[in-house]
Amino acid sequence: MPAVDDTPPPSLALINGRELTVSPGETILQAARRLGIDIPTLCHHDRLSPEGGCRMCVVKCAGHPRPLAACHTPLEPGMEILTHHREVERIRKTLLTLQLTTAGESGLEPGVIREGRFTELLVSHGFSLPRRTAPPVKTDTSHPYLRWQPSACVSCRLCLNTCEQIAGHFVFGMEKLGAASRLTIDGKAGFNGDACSSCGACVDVCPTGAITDRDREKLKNRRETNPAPPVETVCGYCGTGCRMIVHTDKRGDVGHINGVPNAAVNHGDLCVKGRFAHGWHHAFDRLRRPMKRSGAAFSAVSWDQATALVAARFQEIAASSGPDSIAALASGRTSNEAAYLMQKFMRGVIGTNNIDSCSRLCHSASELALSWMLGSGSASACFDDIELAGCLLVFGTNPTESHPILGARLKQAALHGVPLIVVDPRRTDLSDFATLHLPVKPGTNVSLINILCRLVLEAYGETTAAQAGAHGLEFEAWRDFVLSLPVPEASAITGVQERDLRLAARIIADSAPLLTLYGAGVTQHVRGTAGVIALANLALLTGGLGQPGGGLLPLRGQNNVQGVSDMGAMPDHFTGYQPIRSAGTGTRVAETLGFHLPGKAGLTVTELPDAILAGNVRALWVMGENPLRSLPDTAKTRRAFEKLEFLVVQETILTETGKLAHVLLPAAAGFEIEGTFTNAERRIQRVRPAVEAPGEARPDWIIISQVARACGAHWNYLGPGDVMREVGRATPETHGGISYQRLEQSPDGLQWPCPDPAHPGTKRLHSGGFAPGKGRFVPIDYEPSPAHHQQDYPILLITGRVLEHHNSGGMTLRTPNQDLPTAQGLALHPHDAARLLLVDGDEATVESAQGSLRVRVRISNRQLPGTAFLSIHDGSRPANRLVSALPDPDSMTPQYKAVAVKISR
Amino acid sequence: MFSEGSHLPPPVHYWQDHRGLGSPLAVISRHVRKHSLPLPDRAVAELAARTGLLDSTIRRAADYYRSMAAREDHPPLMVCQGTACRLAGSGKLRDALEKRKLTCHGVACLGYCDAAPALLDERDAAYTGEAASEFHEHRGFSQSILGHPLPRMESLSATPLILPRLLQGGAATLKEALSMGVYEGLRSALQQPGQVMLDLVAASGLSGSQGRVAPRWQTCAATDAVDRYVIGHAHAGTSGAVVDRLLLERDPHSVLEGLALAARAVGASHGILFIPADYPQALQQTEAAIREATAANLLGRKILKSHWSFQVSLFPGAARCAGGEATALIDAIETLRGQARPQPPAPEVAGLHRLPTLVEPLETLVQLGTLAKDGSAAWTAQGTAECPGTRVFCLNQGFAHPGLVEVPHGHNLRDLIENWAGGGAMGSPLEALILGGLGGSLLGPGEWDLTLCPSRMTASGLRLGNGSLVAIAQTADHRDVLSHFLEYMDGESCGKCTPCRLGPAGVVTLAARYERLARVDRKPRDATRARRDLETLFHTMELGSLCSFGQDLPGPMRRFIDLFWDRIFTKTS
Ligand code: SF4
Ligand code: SF4
Ligand code: SF4
Ligand code: FES
Repeated sequence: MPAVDDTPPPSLALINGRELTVSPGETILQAARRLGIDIPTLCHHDRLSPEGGCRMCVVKCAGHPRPLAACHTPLEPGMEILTHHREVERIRKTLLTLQLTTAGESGLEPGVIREGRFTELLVSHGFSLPRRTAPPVKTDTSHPYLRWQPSACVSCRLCLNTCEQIAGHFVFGMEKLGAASRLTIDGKAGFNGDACSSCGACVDVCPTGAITDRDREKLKNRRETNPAPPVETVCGYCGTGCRMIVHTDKRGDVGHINGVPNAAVNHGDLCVKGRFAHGWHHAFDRLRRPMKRSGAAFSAVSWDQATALVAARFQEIAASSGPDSIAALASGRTSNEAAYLMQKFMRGVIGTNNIDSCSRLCHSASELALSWMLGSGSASACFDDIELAGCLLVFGTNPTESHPILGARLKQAALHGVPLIVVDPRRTDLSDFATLHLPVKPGTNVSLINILCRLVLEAYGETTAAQAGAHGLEFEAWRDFVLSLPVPEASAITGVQERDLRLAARIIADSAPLLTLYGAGVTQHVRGTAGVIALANLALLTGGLGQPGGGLLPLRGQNNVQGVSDMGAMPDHFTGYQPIRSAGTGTRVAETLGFHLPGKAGLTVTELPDAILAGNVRALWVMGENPLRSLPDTAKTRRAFEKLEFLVVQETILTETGKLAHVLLPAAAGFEIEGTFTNAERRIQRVRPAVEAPGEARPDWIIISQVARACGAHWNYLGPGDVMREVGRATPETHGGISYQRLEQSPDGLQWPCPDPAHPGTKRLHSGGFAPGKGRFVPIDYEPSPAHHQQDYPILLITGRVLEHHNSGGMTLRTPNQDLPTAQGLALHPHDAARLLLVDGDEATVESAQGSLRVRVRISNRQLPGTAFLSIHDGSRPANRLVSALPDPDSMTPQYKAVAVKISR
Repeated sequence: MFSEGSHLPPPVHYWQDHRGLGSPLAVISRHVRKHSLPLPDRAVAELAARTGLLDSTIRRAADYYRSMAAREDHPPLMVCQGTACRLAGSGKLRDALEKRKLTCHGVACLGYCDAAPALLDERDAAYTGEAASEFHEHRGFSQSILGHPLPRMESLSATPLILPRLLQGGAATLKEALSMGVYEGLRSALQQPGQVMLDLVAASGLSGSQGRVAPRWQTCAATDAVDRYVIGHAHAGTSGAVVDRLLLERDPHSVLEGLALAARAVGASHGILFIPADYPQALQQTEAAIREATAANLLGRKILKSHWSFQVSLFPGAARCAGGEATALIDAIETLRGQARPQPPAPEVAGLHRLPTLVEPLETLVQLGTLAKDGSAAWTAQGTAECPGTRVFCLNQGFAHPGLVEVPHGHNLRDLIENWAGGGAMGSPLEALILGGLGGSLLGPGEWDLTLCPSRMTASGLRLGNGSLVAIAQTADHRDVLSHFLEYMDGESCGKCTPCRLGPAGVVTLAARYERLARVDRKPRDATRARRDLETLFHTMELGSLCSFGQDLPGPMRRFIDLFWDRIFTKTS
């Protein structure tokens, strides 16, 4: 380290004769850009660490014997840089000449290179464009999306570095040395090997078109671009909420998709679903016209007939058996506006609180536990906390597959040294990058978290523990409770070694703030709410709530599953989680919306089948959901749905549930609608239509308005923006400041609470303390899961998703994603497989108390012995046939993550 | 941004011996030598079970060793293509063997330069000199390796610092090593803080081929970090690996002691020995030595009951690594790719896994035991003011009396060549010398009155490199030497930066074009143009390359072409 003077002289340097102040750590390239001076680069990318390979960026520096590479040499005081000196220009030209003239050895065929960054360099250095030639080897098109043409590769390694430093996969390699060195893709396996997640990040950076994708190839080949400007919208798959740009082709269909470069959530990246799996929008079997059942078949009707029919039947049934004999399900896939109108319709027009959504099936445990303990049921933290965290606890979620962009951000954080603890019965991809992986036995989360709390408390020592106690009420009682829990017992219950428990606690205690990300692996248990309570205790104890880099981040599954709850599509809450039983809510609704809130709490989706079978519910309106696939105990659900007197299904495609409908209403899909989605960090972002809906399909909010009007309601919304304004009036504390005008101005959306038009939105909840009376520690004890110790069903089955598919597969199975190599089927540990005499690829029977399935077995040492994993996407083998309808008594969420089964040949 | 977590358990890396079973990579490289790639799933699973690594890591590692992999389950012969062997006809030897349908894998240097040419057979037995040239006749009758005659070794210094144990026949086992006083230095260093060792290194003026090492070590020790690494590496590169091979085969404990002492000096907890996988014997000896030393608590946890722990891992390096460029070694360990990285940051500031890392040749490391035991007097008493101490030179079989010689820094080159080595072999006059490997210095006869001191040489634009000396006799095939230069650069370039990756191919293209002209009608101005174009290329490689490998090679090559232009291009075949 050079000695630093007390009064350092202003550190100046010269670039092309222009003076500038040196800022430490800045490279010559960055400094030159500040002056608007462009230094040519090929292998450089702002988001990657400098590669220094292409050497196009060499610049002359007075007094230095050799030129300096601007992309990785820091600008130092006193340097005099010439960026385009004759000498360096000569080197640049020689380098390009070398690329073009050593084709025999390097394998580059200049005539195959596509126009792009490399050809721009050629042109700007006075070369003429190489004449187009046919590639000597055929482009590799074996992957459903990615294309690989080795003869166009200039070995810049941008793809490799992007894959490793951003996507967090390690797909590429370099083989051989010198001119013979070649890029390899997953060894010899190519993009179809297991390493590649098909996210397409490499496509975005390749300067020569050596790696490209099906969508772009198609556009290039047919020169098919649509003059219409591309549209910025939000991905319709998962709760990450990536912003994307949709380009359309000449027919007006989706052409190709990019990430929005500086988007707050995804920084321009997308995963395979977001970038490529858009084909289902134009699938031939989209619902195009309203239809009504006549006998076993459907017949097309006009919109007017359809809405009139729905209105008439609902009114009839309400009149004869009361409004509570009608129920509706909203969806985490549709817009906030549609969800809002759906619950308003049920409450204001029909007069019942029988409205629920799929949120029940994943995160109502969070809503319940967190609002009880902390005063708000949503994520306290935001995604940007991932990089700021002192320690990351990833609990019961596999974000690499379920929320790929978040998964990538987590992996990079871990690679940059943020301690990462992964709790998951499976050895997930992320656990390979973790400081510690705790393979917890399914159904024992509460015990694990409680014991972590105890060990953290012990690791803290007196003073810190006392300070921690100030984070919430009723600390002492809770402390005494956790301190009474014996560690060896917890170790025996959870199956996690004591040493690992202690180490985890030490890491958490030493590296505040703690950011906890958790998913359905916590909530989809009979003791799901208890699990969240325990996690909230840990969060209170470690004190990160509301601080940058700390807090709780429940990962929501679908694009708008956060929003659907925010909008009040819950049987016991109105918008913004206002309890329907509170008098204030009723008054506010009456004043602002002019109707009386029904007083009795409605039915949850989990209770619905029983209510139908008991004859209490006779009609049901399902919007954008497929309960026949998503609800547990498929057999019973089917019986119930078949019994319904009137079932309306509003969908984009014909689902299993749709087949039972009496009326089918064709809905517009994600890229066809106007509205807003709210992601898992409470970020409300604008969704805009990029393509036309097929046939007569209409946006959900219009359909609901029409039905409402047919029922006699005076609904005259001018557009979704109008609906959002009403949401703001009904929910001023959280949505009062949200308007479409503001969302236009802040493209990254606004994070609620945003109470007034001047409010910037709220990145983190609780940063100013908890709501009065909240922030309390709650002692909650472990109880064995009903799935444990069942002699007849010795294996614990976990159900869940894989990267390439989404929920019941309605969307992804209509795209080339179905051709991607996936890890579908039943994953079993080799020991269990050996015991059951099963080998990889065998068919086996999985049987639970509810039902049985034939599935293909996949042997995987990522599985904990005694557990199995089944993906949920295959419609012909619905995993939920096995899941018991017995839910968490508090949240009513079924136990999808621990099903007692037996497996046989 | 990201916080440091000093309390965290250090991550366990794939190259680390984490089950006390030895180096997982050595297991994989040995397997690959005997079996063809790609490995079948069953083999991968077996290796995974044996090493505790993930399947994907096994596959990646196996791929890393692909150049030495068996073809159709038949291990290839490893034929040395180092400069010494090349001048002794190993290029033609390889062609001849391949004509006999024997698969060959060209190796940068097997470490038998004094007895060139050299090759290893399928079972890794060594053949040198005539036994190698006439391999098909001697096959199966190798001078079994440890019985292989030692090269001529001598010290012109009264107190040799690098070779003392080898001069006494070596100390391959722990017992022999202890009897020669190895580990006594470590024992005494453990009584004192690491700083004492660091000060000793500074006081002695211990020097490598770039000059004194202390400044780098001090930077490494002073950089704020949670941990540090030391890497000892056996010179890759061409010719001159004799001393590295011998140290590993016959004095491995001094290497280990040195690694531990270097770690002690800078505060590292982990050391890595980067040994080319094509030194099978050295690899085995070192593995055994590590095992013995760990069992005797001379390495590992709480060494000799002190509070200091130090673990050593073996990294068998595959392929070649930009002539041993430090950042490329680090990259190989981290990613199994072996590509140079931009500097700054220098490895001693942010190297392996971004932690401060020392990368030192074995010759430097083996001096540390004596230094710790006896103090710095033996260094300061000899050598030059800039670079105290000694240096080993390895003279190849092109000299009348080849071998290894340790001399104090500052010794005169001509004296070594004419008096110690007796000039060219078989009395044939020498026309040039390659000092320090192909990226070192090419010296015509007029330049032999040279003081062999790294610092002084650097000041006059010359490089001492790895201390090898290769004689180019009048009878040499100059065209072959030039293609050797180019093949070497092309075959060793990590392929990361364009000038070094494509430069040699560019030179070949230019030379071929000039050759073609020869057949028609070559005019003097063609020669001028060809030389000018070549110069543009050399200039671009020299100035544009990312690491010292690409920057250093064009110099000697240019000099060679300048000296022997006519000999290279007039002999048309
Ligand atoms: S698509 Fe994504 S995962 Fe696949 S190679 Fe490219 S960057 Fe890596
Ligand atoms: S494929 Fe494209 S991005 Fe990758 S190294 Fe080749 S040219 Fe660069
Ligand atoms: S991570 Fe989620 S939101 Fe982002 S592109 Fe993928 S599916 Fe869409
Ligand atoms: S941009 Fe600097 S070396 Fe490529």
